[in-house]
Amino acid sequence: MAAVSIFYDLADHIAIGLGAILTPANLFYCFLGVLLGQLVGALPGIGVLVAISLLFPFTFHLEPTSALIMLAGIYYGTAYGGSTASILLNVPGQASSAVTCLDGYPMARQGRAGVALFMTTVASFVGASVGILLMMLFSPTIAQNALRFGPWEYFSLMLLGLIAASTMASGAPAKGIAMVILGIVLGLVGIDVNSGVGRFTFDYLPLYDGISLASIVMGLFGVPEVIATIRDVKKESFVTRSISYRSMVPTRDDMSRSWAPMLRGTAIGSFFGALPGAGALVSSFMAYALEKKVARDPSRFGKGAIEGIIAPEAANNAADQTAFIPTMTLGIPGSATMAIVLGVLIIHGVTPGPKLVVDHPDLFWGLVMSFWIGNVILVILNIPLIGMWVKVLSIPYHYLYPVILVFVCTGAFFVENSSFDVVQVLVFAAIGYFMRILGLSAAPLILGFILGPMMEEHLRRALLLSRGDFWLFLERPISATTLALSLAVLIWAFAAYFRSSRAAPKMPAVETES
Amino acid sequence: MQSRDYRDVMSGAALLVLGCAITIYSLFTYPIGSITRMGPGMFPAVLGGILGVLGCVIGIPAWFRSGEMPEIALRQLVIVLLSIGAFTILLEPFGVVPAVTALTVGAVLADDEVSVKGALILVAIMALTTVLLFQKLLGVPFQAFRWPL
Repeated sequence: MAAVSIFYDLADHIAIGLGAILTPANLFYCFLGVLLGQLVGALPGIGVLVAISLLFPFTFHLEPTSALIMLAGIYYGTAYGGSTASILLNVPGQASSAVTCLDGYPMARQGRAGVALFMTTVASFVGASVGILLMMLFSPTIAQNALRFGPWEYFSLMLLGLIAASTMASGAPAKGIAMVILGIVLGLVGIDVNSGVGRFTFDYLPLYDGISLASIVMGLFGVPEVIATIRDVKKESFVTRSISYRSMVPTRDDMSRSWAPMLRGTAIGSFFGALPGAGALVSSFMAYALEKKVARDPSRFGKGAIEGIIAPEAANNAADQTAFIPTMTLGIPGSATMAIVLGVLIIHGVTPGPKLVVDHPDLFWGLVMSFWIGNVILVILNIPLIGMWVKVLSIPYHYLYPVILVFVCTGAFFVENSSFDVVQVLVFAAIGYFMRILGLSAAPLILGFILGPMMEEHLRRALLLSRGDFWLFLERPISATTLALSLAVLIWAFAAYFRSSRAAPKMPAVETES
Repeated sequence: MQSRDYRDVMSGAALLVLGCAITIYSLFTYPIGSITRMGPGMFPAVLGGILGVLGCVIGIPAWFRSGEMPEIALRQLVIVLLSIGAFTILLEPFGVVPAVTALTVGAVLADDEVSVKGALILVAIMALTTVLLFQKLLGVPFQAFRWPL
C-alpha cells in the first residue's frame, strides 16, 4: 500500500511540476539556460563557476521559478558542453570533464570524434536521468524528515557541509578552512539582524547593505581567471573541423562496451554528487579509476578506450543533478556553485530548505521537471548542432576575454543599478588574483560567504533556546552524528594531506572549481 | 625553487594579521554579549581567532620547507584592473558607450594578439550589444551617452 501511495504522490508532484514549467516564459528560460550553459561550458577558460557568475545577475529580475530554472539550466548545461572541448581539443571545457581528455582526444585522433561525442551525450543523458529520478524519489522523504530539524541540526549540517567542501576539494585543508572563515566574515558585513548594528561597515553607507553576491563572485572568479588565462592560453589545434552524422554511429562493439561503464559511472556520480565536497569533479575521476580497475585490459586506457569517456561523463552529469538534493531539500549546498544557486533564491525571497519543498511545490517540482526538459533539449542541441559547437570552440581567447569583462562590469551594475557594485568587483578582483597566486582557493570563500550569516543565526537561536548550553548539540542524535562526522572528515583530511605532502613534497596544488 | 616556501609563509602571515585585526576590531567595536545572548561582536571575534591560528598552521611549517613562488602576470593584472576602473569612472558621468569602449580597448591592450582593426570591430560590437541587449532589452538604466556639464 505504501508503495502505491508513493506513486500517487509522485504523479501528483509531476503534475504540479509540469503545470509550473509548461508556460511559454519558463520553457523559454529553460531553453535559454541550457543553451548558454552548453555554450560557455564548451569554451575552455570559462568554468562552470565563472559561467554562472557571469550570467546570474541577469536572472535577478525574473520570477523566482524562472530564475531558478534558467540558473539550473546553465549549471547542468555546462556539463554537456564540457566534454566537447575535451574530445576535440584535448583541453577540458570544464574541470569535471578533464578526465574525458585522456581517452576522448585519442579517439578523436583515430577519427572517432563523432562516436565519442555521440556516446558521451548518451552517457550524459543517462547519468542525468538517473540523477533526476533519485531526486524525485528521495527529496520528499528527506524534506519531510528535515521539517523536524531545529537550529542545532542546521548548524551542525552546515558545519559538516563547509568542512567537507573546503577540505576535500583541493590543496591544504588549513587553507580551505581559512578561506571558509574569511568568507563567513565577509558575509557578516552589513546590518546585523539581531541587534541592528552595522558590522564592518566603517560608517560607509553603501556597505550597510552588505557585500553584493554578484560582485564578490565575479570579482573572485571571473576576473582573476581572465588575468591568468590571457597569458597562459595555448594555441589550440583541432583534430577534426567537421563531423558528419555518419561518423557518429557507434559500432556494435562500442555499444556492448558502453552500457556497463555508463551504469557504474551513474552510480558513482549519483552517490557522490549528493555529498558535500565531492561533486562532479571527484566522481568523474573516481569513475575513470574504477573503469581502469575493472577492465580486462587496462592498457587500452589512454589510447582511446570508449569506457574511459562514458563512465566519467555519466558520473559528472549524475552528480550535477543529485547535487540539487541537499541544496533544495535541506538548504545546504555542497559546492560553491550550488551555494550561488541558494544565494540567488534568498535574494528572491525564497528560503531554501524542507519548507520550500512543502510550501512551494510549484517551484520545487517545476525545477525538477525542468531538468527533464532541459536535458532533452541538450541532447537535441548536442547531436545535430555539433558543427556549431565546433565553431564556438574555434573562437580565440583574445576576442573572448574582453567580452567576458564587459559582461562582468555590466552584470555587476545591473543587479542594484549601482556603480559601487562595480567598485566591489574591482576590489575583489585584486584580492582574488593574489589569493590565486598564494594558492588560496576562492570556492570555499563563496560557500562561507553565503552560509555564514545563516550559521550565525542558527547558532544564536540554538544557544538562546538551550540557555547557553552547548551539550544540546551532542544530546540531539542527528546533530551529534553530524558533528562526529565533521570531526572525522577534518581528521581524515589533515591526515591525508600530511601523508601526501610527505610522500611527494612538491605536489602542485591543483586549482579546482566545483 | 627557493629555500623557503614563501608563498605559504606569506599567505599564513596575511591570514594571521587579518584574523587578529578582525578579532581586535570586533572586541573593541561591538558588544560581545553572553553565550546565551550572543552580541554582534562574538561570532566575528571567535572567527578571527580561528583564522589567526590557521594562519600559523599554514605559515610556520612553510618556513621550514622549500617552495616555489608563482609568477605574477603583472601586465595583465594592472591593465585589466585599470580597464575596470576606467569603466567605473566613466559610466555615470559619460554614459555606457564611452565606459564600454574604454573597458574593451583597455582589455585588448593586455595582450598583443588583437589587431587595431580587430579591436575596433570588437569595440563596435560590444557597444552595440550593451546598448541593445542590456539597455533596451533588459532595461538596465544606462544612458548611452552623457555629458556631465
